[in-house]
Amino acid sequence: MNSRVRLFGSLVEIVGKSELNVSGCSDTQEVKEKLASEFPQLRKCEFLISVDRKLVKNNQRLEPGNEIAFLPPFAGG
Amino acid sequence: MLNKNEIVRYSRHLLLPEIGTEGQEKIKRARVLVIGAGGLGCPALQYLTAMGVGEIGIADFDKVDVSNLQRQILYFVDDIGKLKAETAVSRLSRQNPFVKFNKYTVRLDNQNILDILSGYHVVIDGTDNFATRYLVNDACVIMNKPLIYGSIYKFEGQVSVLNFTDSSGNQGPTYRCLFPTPPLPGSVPGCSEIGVLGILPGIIGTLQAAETIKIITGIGNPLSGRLLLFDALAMSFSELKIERNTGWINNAPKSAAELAKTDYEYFCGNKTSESSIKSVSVETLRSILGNSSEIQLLDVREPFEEPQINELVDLQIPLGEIPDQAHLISKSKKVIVFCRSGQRSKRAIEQLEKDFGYTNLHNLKGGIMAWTISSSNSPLKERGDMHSE
Repeated sequence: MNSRVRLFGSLVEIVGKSELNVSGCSDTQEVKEKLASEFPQLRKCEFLISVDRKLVKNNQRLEPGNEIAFLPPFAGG
Repeated sequence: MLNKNEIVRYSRHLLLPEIGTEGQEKIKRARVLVIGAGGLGCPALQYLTAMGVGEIGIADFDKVDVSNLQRQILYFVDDIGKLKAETAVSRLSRQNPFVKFNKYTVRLDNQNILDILSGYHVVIDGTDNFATRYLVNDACVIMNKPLIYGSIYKFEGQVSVLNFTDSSGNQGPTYRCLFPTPPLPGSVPGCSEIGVLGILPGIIGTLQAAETIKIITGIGNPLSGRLLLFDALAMSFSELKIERNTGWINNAPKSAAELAKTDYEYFCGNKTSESSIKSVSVETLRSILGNSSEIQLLDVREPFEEPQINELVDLQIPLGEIPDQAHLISKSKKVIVFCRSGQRSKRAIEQLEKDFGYTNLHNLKGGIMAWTISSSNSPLKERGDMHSE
């Protein structure tokens, strides 16, 4: 299964783009793990995860076509 | 009651049926605290003043710097070196003499925040660091005040109305429902390190002011339960649905006394504790894991937090439930307490030592993050040296 992942803030700099496709993941934890193994710097980051524009509290199973987003907190004011 | 001059001044509001005289009087009776008179605070202050908020508090201990002028449009060249709160009050008083201003030029901390907040109905978060953001959020939760949240990063912004109770008594999410754990120090650069588009805080700060006026007057749909995301490069807004997370809210101090004892600089990892908590490294833990009859492992993360490490599965009590379940924790074995990064486990140990007399607790340095890094033999690479495995 292909999942589209949108990235925000400092995560874009780590991954090098604001959107990417991840395949073979059945839940949000797997997506997180897959990206973290490719971009180890992500392990140091805090971010919230949303699926179809809704914040997920726990690990969530993915359906085809789900849009995932990783959003870190911003410090600036 | 509005006086004659105010009726003329606010005529464009009075023409709006949604606001009218009644709404403008609500605005006049409102007391709003703006925390941080910087990028977000300046535009929020200027509009709230123009619109006639009756009493405005300005909390900022900082002085105007020449590098602020690119985005903090309340300040002029001859203000450089002056206190922002004082400069803001003198300029805004000329903008609208019907507004009363209070300035706070001390640094907000766990000792003074509740006192300062108590005089206000609504709080605007225009701070530039995580320690103050968590402090302000927790204080607003304890005092049941809506918090108009805004934050910025380069070309992107986040806005939400947090800790909002609607007319039916439903409570909205708090900052901790978005970000339960502060980021590691240095992992999220601020404007002074990474830069920011000058107009970005102008956009986000005015959105915060708009939400403030809506809450005061009770019109429209407040941005509660929603996190608004703005991207100036794409020139697009998007929205995430967010919900209250009671488990995460419970990790915050629940009373004035608890808040006064919470060290937010320590919580955010900006300093190490001066306490004498014993700790063990992941290497030490690995070497003693074989003697499982002599050690107990206590995981204080939430049950759903990943990863779960088979070798470390033993006793799991989320931080918020420690007082109720302390009896499950051994007083004779060597107890290794851990969480994701080592921060929450340290708090658990402090609480157990202080309130329950434990002396056999050890904090796992670096938590599960350190454990997984040392297990995978793939040490984190510094930024700029990213690689694919």
